[in-house]
Amino acid sequence: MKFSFFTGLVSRPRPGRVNWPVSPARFDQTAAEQALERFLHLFDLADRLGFDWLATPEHHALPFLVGDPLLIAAMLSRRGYRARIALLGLLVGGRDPALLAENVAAVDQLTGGNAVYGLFRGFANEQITFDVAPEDFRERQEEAVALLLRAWEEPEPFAWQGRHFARRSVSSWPRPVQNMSKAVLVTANSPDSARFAARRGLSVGIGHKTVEAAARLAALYREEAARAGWSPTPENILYHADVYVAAPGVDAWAEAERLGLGRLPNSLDGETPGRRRIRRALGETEPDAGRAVDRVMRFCGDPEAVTAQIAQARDQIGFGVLNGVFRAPGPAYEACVSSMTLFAEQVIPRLRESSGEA
Amino acid sequence: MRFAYFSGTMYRRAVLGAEWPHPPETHSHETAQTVRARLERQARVADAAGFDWIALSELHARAFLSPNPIVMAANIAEWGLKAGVMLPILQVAGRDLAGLAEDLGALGHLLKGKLRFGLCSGQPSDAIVWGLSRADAEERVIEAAHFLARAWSEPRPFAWSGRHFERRQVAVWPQPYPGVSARPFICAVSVAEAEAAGRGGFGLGIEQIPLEAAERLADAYREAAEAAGRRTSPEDVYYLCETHVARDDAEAAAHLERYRLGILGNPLAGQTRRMRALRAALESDDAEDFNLLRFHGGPEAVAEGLQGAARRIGFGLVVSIFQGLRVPAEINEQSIHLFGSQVIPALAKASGRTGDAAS
Repeated sequence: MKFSFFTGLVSRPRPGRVNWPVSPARFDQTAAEQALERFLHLFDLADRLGFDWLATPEHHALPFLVGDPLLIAAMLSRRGYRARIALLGLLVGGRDPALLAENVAAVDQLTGGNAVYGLFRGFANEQITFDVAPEDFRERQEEAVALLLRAWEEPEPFAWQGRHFARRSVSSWPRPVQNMSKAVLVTANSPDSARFAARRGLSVGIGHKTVEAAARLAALYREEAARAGWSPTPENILYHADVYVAAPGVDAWAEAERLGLGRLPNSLDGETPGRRRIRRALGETEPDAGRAVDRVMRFCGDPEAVTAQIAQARDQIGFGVLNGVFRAPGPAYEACVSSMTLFAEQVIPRLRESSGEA
Repeated sequence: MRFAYFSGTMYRRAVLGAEWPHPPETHSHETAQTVRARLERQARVADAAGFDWIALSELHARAFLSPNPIVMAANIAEWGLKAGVMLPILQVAGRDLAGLAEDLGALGHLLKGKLRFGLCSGQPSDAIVWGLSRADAEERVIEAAHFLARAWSEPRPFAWSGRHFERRQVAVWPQPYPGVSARPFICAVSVAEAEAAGRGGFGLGIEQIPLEAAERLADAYREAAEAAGRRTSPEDVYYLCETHVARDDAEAAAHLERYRLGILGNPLAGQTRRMRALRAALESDDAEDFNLLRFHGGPEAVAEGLQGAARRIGFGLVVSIFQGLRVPAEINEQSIHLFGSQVIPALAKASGRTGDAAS
């Protein structure tokens, strides 16, 4: 089992109305400098603590100091990390895939192939960012994935005439170091995307889903893969979830809520036609009930409790990579350091032991 | 006057033919590693020699290790150099401008403000990459410059509906690092672009064209700026040129002959209607190819050559391309070192500055 440390390079905005897009007027230079310093400290620490991957996302029109993980990966490639740098993920539906193929390959060169790349779709607001109709976004992502994989493999220049992208000449330089079909994962946050990944023989990431919903998606992925003639292993499935570990005797849930962690809504909530359709396909008729913090914070407690929660989720979903989201907004920074340290020192060894890896 | 060392991240010329696009199968990881190590070593020589910036190129479907200089610049941010990074010829043709504004903003923070950048329409081959006409590619440069200036100054989200770019909602994070100019250079290849740069309050980039034509381009820029009520200074204009410095003129001549330095070319050459119109606009009859390695010799000769060109064109920034792809590494490193230790101080002295020319 692999453990990924995930956090974003968020620059805490000045106080203001909570909305999207976040107004650039709320940018704070002092907070930006602190954010970069802390981000690098967290990644250095995560590497020393023995996390297998160091992961960061792509987001736009949100208070990120660096919203493009390619820049972060290019920078981090100089820091001599043992862990792999994970770009989770690149929002391929909104980018020019031919240009993205070059950039990813350049990063793969800079990291010496020590990186993984999530070819994802992003949040619903990302469709507005890129001015893409929601109905087109999945199709665009799938076409972009196909173009990317071809650009990395074709020895000669080729033309691409797709439904969403057209290029009369694609000749992608440099070449990536890795076999990219093994270095990428795609989203499986809906039945359609799980089927797409299975048909293409690609690894998947499932994120911001309850354990039950993720388990159904993973089962569907395995069924479709079997139909396509291959069998995914646990390492083909990444589960993305918020983690907060507190010392024994501390009420971790209350602490997480007090620190403002885990307030993102469940991605199956909401009454849009798309979300209702996904819930129906997964056999869920109602959005999740419960406290806001429950919805995104999956693994919360002392080391023993978190170990048990993750082990149970692993058995239900069958994932082999846990992408643990450790949020570190301003006041929660010290708590994040403590949480990730407890996780690395007390949760990871127990989980490795329980899966026979110790 | 200030100076940038131009470092193309080109792979290895020897294995490539004249064909374009370069086929990816000619790539080898071992060679790529060697080339990248050499590029870094030479950038460090330039940094120690007193250059203000390491400049990076952008070219696509060509044998480059980092076709997108923004990615490479993020890597350079961790090299611990005194010099900053200059991206004089960023292509905007196929780019998402909001993404470009975000990336440049982020890069400014990673480089602690040591960032300059310019926009260009790219080589003719790049127009094929993006599937654009040259005229459209040039128009996009102007629109992109205005977009960036606005994206970095608007306090609230805004919509953009231009001729070439549309976004119903733009909210760029982060805002630029203090001191990073939101007004890019426009690397002009036409009078219209130079005038638009002047009117818009942007900088002007001039690349390789004959001196007479460069002079007229710069004049057009300054006249347009003045008409718009804007003041310009030499530091608003960069000149990108090929250089080679040896210990003396005789050694430089020997290098030229032995390594066949210089490329014959002329960005104004060609008998298309557009190029004839461009030459007419610049009052340049010069349609012949010439040696693009214009400034070569001992330090004194190179300093004199650059000083003369600066007097005519009025540039205050030199973006210097060295001959690292053609001469052995030690000769190129000597050239970079001599430029920094002798040419830069000579030019600083001539322009009335004392002390560190690159400060």
